[in-house]
Amino acid sequence: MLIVQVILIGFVAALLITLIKAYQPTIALVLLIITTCLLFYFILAPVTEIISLLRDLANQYRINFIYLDTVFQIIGIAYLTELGAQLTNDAGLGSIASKIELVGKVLILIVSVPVLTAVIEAIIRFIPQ
Amino acid sequence: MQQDVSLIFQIAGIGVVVAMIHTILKQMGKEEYAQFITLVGFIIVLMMVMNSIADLFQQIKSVFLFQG
Repeated sequence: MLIVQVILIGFVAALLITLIKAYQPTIALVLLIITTCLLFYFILAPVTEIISLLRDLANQYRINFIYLDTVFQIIGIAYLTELGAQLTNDAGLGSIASKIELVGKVLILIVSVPVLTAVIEAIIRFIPQ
Repeated sequence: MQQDVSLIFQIAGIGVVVAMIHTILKQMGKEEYAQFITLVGFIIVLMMVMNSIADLFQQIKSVFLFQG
């Protein structure tokens, strides 16, 4: 089972990091980064399948691809932001983590501008002149 | 994936060995060599991790953001 594997990797990594941290804090940090990357790999494979499924569905019902791509981009930005923010937070730099989150939020806003304009245009069209 | 898991043990092993060398050099009174060993160990580990991080980011880009 995948979840058992993930938990055991996390457990072993936590053990090794606590062992190393007293002697070599920098190498402990690198170990933390590699563990995070490894665990994020586990999410990536199922997410790829889900995204291909959603794209197939959208293709089937002829939904405009621009909106779906925007949604996936937003999910990707959120995923990367989460990774970076958690890593910097674990390194003990909470302020940098909150800045990363702020930048992620702004980038998501920028990516979603076309959808926002489409919504506003649709609303304007409903209003009688 | 198997190779990636062994990377964790590899890095932890490097950390332990570097810590040991650092302690021995410090006991011998060679402070600057000890610092240098720490730096070299850190750089080696960073090089090992760099590939993995680049691979992960490339994969995330190809999954979510589509323009490669």
